[in-house]
Amino acid sequence: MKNTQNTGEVNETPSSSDNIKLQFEDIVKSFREDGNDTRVLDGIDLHVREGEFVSILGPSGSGKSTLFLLLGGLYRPDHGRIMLDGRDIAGKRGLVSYMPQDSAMFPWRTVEQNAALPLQLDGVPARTALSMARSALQKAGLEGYERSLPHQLSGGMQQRAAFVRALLGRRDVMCLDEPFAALDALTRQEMQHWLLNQWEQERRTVLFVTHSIEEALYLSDRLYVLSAKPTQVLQEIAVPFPRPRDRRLLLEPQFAALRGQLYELLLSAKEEEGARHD
Amino acid sequence: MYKWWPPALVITALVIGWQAAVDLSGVEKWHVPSPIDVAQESMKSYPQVLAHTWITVKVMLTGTAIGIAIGIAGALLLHISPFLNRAFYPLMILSQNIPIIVLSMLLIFWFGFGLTPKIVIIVLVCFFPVLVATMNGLAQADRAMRSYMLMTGASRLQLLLKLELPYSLPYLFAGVKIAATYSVMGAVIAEWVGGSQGIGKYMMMSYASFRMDRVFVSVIVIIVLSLLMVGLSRLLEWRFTRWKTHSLHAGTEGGSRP
Repeated sequence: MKNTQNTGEVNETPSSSDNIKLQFEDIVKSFREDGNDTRVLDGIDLHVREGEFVSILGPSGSGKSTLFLLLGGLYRPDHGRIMLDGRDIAGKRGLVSYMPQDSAMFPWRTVEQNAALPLQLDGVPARTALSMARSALQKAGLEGYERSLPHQLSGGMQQRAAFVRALLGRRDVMCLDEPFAALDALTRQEMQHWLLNQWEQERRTVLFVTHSIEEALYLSDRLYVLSAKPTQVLQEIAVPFPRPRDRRLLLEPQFAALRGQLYELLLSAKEEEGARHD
Repeated sequence: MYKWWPPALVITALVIGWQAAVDLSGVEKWHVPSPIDVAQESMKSYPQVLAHTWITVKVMLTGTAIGIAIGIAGALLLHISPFLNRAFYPLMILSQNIPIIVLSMLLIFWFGFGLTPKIVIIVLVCFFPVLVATMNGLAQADRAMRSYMLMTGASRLQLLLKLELPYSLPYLFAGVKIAATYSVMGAVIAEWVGGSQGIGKYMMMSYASFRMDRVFVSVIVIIVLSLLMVGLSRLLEWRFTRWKTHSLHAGTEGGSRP
């Protein structure tokens, strides 16, 4: 904890001095499995500044999604605090917008109705919500698909729509949970580039979960590398590349070096887990 | 593609066989009428038959609509409240084990020979399949969509109306289709037991006066009514779950639903 200077101000928190939007403080979470408590998260500390793109990189099964479910208020942490704008939001729902792994589009709603859903949940009248959704979809390159049903769209297009839906949630923090994991390699690259463009226009605060090193490096300002279960933060890395970025970044030696370093880190985390199971 | 000709062939063969059997064996017409006798009788008595049928149709549609509405409302209630679910579900099952004939007699004893007991009978046979199917559907809602809704801060009511209810529609309509076929039987039985009009009553009167040809005419009417009810529920199903059939054709939704 930082010491606040004695300026006579009350309620001074790290967020006001440091522009910290979201902070996980020593988060511990266990689940009961076959009568045993399995510790999934083992003291996670991380933060996201306002307008920052932060990735969480970890081997599969490292409790990355659990982190999001805690943030979304679906579970409560056993220990620790989740601070949004300096307020503990553990167990509170609907304070962040969320883009799940599979698009989770509602098959009976058209694309624009899907995108308008979070607005409607907030009580925006359907007509207004739909017209907002329509213009957001057009900006996202989905013009002409507004009235289609989700299954008529390709996987990449569905994820675009899901991203627009998350954007329209009008929350300050967006949580993207491995949004491109189910896409083929080429579509995935295309979508990364698309997301980068969208984000550089909007500059929302983003927490991005992925298990792809390249994706994390390409997109984020900062990233956290997680260990295998019970999960801890192995390393925090500031990604030094300037914006706006494009695909050429992937060919730079510094990118390759960082990628190599992260690869080693993740590999050792995985081996450590393997050793524990033997 | 649905092949209509094998069943058509079987039915045609059956009718021809029936006609031949009656002609060759020389049984009396009042004993076993032939298909031609039945056809002739239906030409002769159709105004009367239609009048009875119309009464049955009105009772049936009213009862089915109320039954479906109660089934859906009940399912929503039992879905939201685990307590009500535990308290009432056994009773629901129990209600399905009372023989419908006995129930009809009691209801007619209590409510008289008007429309009420018949509608109540139809409601009782219709609500249950809809209730069970809808409850099943409500519990099936996709997990990813569900956690999306919860993360986004949906209230219980929003979760129900925007996710669980639409998601349960294909299940609900499976129940409606069963209810629709039950409702015809329910109406006929209720009319047997008590009542002065309706196709069930017409059938009983014909039987009592040894007019087997008329009994067969009523049977045909009942079959046609059942088919129409199923057709109507299919139409409704198509209207409300178009997205489902679309996605099935696109092959993005796997598997069939009960």
